[in-house]
Amino acid sequence: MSAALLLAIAGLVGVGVYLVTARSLSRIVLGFSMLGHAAVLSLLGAGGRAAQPPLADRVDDTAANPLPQALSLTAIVISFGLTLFLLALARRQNELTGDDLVEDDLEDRRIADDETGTDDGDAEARPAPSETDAGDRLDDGVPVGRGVTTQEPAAS
Amino acid sequence: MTTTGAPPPPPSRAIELAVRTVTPVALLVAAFLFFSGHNQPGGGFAAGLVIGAVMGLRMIAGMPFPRNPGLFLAAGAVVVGLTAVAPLLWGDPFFDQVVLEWDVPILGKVKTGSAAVFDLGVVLIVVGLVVAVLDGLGADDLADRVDAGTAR
Amino acid sequence: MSNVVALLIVVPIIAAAGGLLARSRALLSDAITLGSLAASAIGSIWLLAEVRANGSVVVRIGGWDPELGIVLVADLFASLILMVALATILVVEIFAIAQRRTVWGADPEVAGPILLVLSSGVSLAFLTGDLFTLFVAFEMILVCSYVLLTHQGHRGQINAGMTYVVMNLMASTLFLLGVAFVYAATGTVNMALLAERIPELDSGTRLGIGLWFLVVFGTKAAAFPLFSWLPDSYPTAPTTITAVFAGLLTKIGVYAIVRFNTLTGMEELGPVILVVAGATMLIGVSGALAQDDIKRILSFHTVSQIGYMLMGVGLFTVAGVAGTVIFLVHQIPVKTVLFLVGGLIEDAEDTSALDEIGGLARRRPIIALLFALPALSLAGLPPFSGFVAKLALVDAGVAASSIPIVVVSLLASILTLLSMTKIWLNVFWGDEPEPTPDSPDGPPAQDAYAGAGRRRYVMEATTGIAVAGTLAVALFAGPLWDMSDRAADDLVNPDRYISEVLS
Repeated sequence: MSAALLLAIAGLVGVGVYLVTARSLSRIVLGFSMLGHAAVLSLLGAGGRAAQPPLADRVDDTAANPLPQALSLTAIVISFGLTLFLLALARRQNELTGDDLVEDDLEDRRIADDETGTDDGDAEARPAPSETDAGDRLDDGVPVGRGVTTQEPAAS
Repeated sequence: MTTTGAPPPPPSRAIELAVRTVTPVALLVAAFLFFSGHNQPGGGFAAGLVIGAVMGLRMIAGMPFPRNPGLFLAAGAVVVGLTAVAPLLWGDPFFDQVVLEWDVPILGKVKTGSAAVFDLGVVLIVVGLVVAVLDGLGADDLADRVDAGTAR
Repeated sequence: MSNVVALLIVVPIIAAAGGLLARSRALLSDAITLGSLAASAIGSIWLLAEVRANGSVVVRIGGWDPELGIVLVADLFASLILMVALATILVVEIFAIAQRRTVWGADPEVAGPILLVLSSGVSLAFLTGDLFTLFVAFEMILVCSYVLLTHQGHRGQINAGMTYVVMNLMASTLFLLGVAFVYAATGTVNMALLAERIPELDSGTRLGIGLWFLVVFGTKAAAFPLFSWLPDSYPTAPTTITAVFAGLLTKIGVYAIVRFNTLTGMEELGPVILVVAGATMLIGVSGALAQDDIKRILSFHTVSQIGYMLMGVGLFTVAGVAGTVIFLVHQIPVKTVLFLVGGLIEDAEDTSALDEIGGLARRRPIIALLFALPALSLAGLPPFSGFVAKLALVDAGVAASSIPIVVVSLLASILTLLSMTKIWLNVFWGDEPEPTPDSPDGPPAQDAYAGAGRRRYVMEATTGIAVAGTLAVALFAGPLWDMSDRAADDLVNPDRYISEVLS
């Protein structure tokens, strides 16, 4: 594996991780495609130098190792499908809320509120069709977690 | 992408003309990729993506394109599945392939096999997937826009 | 016999295509889906009987050498879990058909074909003999689960689906990077070859690979601290979908942990796995105690039970791994059944929030019975299957003199019983709460649907059959124990697996 390939992988992973931790799903999509490229490059790197079989059982042969290429191709196909799905999800979220932010879990917020004594009442008990808008709450400046994953009040 | 507000302008004639010109060329490229995939870069996935790109261009230009992704996906899955299990009928291993070679007058030596049938299934699945996503991602909006444009 | 292994993976795909084409004809589509799932279940029973009698079945796809090609390996562990999994999917599909056209049900035109692709992916995940195909199978399963989770497009589902997709996609990406590392270190992704080559690596590389895959599979299995996506996403899906997810998906992560760690001999990771197991048990169950919605309580229990399965792996003894195998066999049907009962309650009461239900035992005693049996089994009371499974694990823990994990597991059992009691007291006993004025978002009354009564009977009968299945696990504890022991012996001493695949 050449140093250039290594640097490219490191750069892609760095950018990818940064983007994936964003709130906006369109950035997460970009982040995952970066990470996917990094994974494909490292698969190619794992195959050893061009026209050389992999590290173990290395013999002098003029044929390139086909296996990492097959693995990469499969990985590319899968990441293509998943990117499309994420984009469709982002669009649906956009239709529903006007943005594409990953929101906090309503039930978690409710249980956490119960514990701190700021009960909003049972009117918002159902998560799915509830009128309570987590996106609005976010905009209202309620201090909620900004991470990608939602919080677990019961666990932490 | 907003779904409200003033209706967007109709797609331009220039784009439509360009897409009309590009479509047969792109399909030829897809066919080339499909057949070269046996021993060289290319293959069913690449060919499917090129055809999918054609669909995307036609969508942008407001031109008709096949709107039944389920049919493509199902046909592709059947072709892929049957190629996988067909060798079992002859007692060969699962996913075994048959390679055929001919000497054709103009083209020279042509090498193909049952892998090409499998690849055809892949093409169908990829095209179906792209069409499904195009439908999900806003073909309806564009169709509305085209309707609004023609109504004016 | 090898044909059955291949057909288990291919037939559901072809049937899914058929179901997709017959989408507009509900009866035909259902018949195709049910027929294929039933055929898969029967095939897996046949496979198990064959493997039990004559040893593993190894299929080389395309006749390629294991070094280059893909192998499918049906050993005792794989075929046992596969049989339970496919039978569970079949039961859920019957329930789903009965629940169609209701607010809580999945859309059968979408769910049927996708459930078929899911079952193909599940078969592939259990049967595959190489790491990369395991990745492909995980992706198949996850893509199907993304679609099943979000296909109705409700607000809460999209929200929860995003959390689920992002977490699982991250794990998948790490999986792929891990495959690249393994390939760079050993030059193969075949698991039998890995079992030979990974123990020869220097300990730093080996532990790095082991920890990396523990993170990957731990996320898929929802082990502490990587479980937070599960209780958020599962409760929002339609009941039947949640039942499949809770029963199966996390267990595939556990399966991968068992397979990978035993095969590559990662015994140094044992203490790490034990700590993770203890934390998962306790935090899962305390999360369940804090919740007040049936589906969410059950989701947290799913997390908690993962801890028990990891406990057996962490011990790295034959008895411990055998305990994990029994626990998997017990847990897949019991968890699914509990979620199905949750669906029955939702169907009867139009809600799954604890404080809006009460006195259901008087009005629908059958549901109460159907809930009580698996709930007691989950808590591990004799004579149910949960008792057998937990006894095996505790026994193995004591034998390996890992007393702390045994104490933690018993404590978690008591807490499980406590939270099951909470559901029982709130839902089945007590007074019926004042009927609250229907919110405009609430689902319409169930009786508005034609044939509601017959539909209800089918749902109850299906759940009843499934409950009987979980009881049967306890009834056949003897042969099951025997098989688990043999499977665990093959797992902990992988020489036979290696020779069977490579010969």
